[in-house]
Amino acid sequence: MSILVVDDSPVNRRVLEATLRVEGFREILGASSAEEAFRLLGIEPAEKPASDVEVILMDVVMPGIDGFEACRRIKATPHLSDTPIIIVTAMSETESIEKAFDAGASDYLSRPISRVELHARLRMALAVRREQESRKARERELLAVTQQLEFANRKLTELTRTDGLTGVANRRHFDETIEVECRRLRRATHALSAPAWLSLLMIDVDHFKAFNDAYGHPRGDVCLQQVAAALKRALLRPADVVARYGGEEFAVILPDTPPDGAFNVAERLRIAVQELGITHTRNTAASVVTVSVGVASSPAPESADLLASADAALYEAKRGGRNRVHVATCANRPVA
Amino acid sequence: MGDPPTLDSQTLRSLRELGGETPDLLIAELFALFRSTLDSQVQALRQSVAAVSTEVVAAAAHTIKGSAASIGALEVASICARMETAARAGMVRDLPADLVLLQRASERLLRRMAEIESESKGAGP
Repeated sequence: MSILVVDDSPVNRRVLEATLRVEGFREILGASSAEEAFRLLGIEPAEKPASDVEVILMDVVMPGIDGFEACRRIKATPHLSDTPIIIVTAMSETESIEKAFDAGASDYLSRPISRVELHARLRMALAVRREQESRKARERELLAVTQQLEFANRKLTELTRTDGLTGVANRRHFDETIEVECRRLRRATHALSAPAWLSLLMIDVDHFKAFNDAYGHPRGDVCLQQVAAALKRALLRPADVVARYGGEEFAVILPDTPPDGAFNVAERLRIAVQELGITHTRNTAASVVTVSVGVASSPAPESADLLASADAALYEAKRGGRNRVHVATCANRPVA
Repeated sequence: MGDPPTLDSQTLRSLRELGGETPDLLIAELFALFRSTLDSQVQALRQSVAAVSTEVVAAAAHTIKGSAASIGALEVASICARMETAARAGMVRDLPADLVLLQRASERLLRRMAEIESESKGAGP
């Protein structure tokens, strides 16, 4: 911690230095010009200063850059913006005093400087500085805490939306999302070209109850986790949402997906699950775990209708033998 | 208020106090520093007055004023203050006269400084 005295007169510097020493300051730096001061402060060239300067005593008239300009530049430097600068004038030049404050000085002193005055001004300047530093430290703390809180909030939000077992979206999040997507579609104005479709897949693990009976619930849980992971992996677009709809039932929302696109996705998902190769001797459709998928699409859906449609399609898939995709018939687009 | 003193005794006292254990040493150091630059500074002032370079006059006068005030040489400081103010206002008429006054005041100052230094030497430990 040091004090910097900037003055082109060696007499002035020596007097100030002697005064400061008597006041108990040990580390006193001297500069004979603003340029030299900038070097010592790490402004020009820009580098870490040799010492942490607590307060600056600045003469006004100096060859080269004057005290006011030096004051402005120092105040404009980020790591020095809080360092108090006391302008030292000779014989109370009132014009200088105003200019001093305009330049960012926190105080002024007139030569000859009495010890008492110097002591008082320095104490005040240092007190103000310490107050500012502690305020900034508190601000930093507050910022850190706020960020921690925001992070915690995000985590919390994620938790409320996520299914604990499988890590995909939970039923509640699904209900919200399907509603939002339906509303958005109904609001959107359609271009003259093909309308936008919202597609919904209802996916149910085949003979899951039997799986639990045969292999136990813990294995059943693991199976669900693996199925969910496979579904998630197979979905390519960030807007596509997979959620756990019920015990062994998943739902996939595909915004902006027409019926044939939805069918392709559904097939991809069905195959992905089958390729997991989880042994399931009680499955009728295959010797491994499989899913049945119901697909429904609409350009302007009510969520309840779309759900009912996908459910019905799922039922058909089950009835048709399981491990297959069934697309709900739609008035506009007959499906093979 | 009377004329400003050649060397203000109150300032001198304060400066002595600053010297701590060795008050005379600090005074000697300050006087030496002051003397070493006074001549050249007065010379620069003289040249700028002759050339009527008011900006240089103001700067030179200001410099001497500052150092003089620091050691309590208030007579010299006050003449320089006057010259500085005049030069800044562009009023050059009285500058040569003030220069003469400054010369005389400087001589008085140097004599007084020598007196003080020999006084302290004479006083002994």
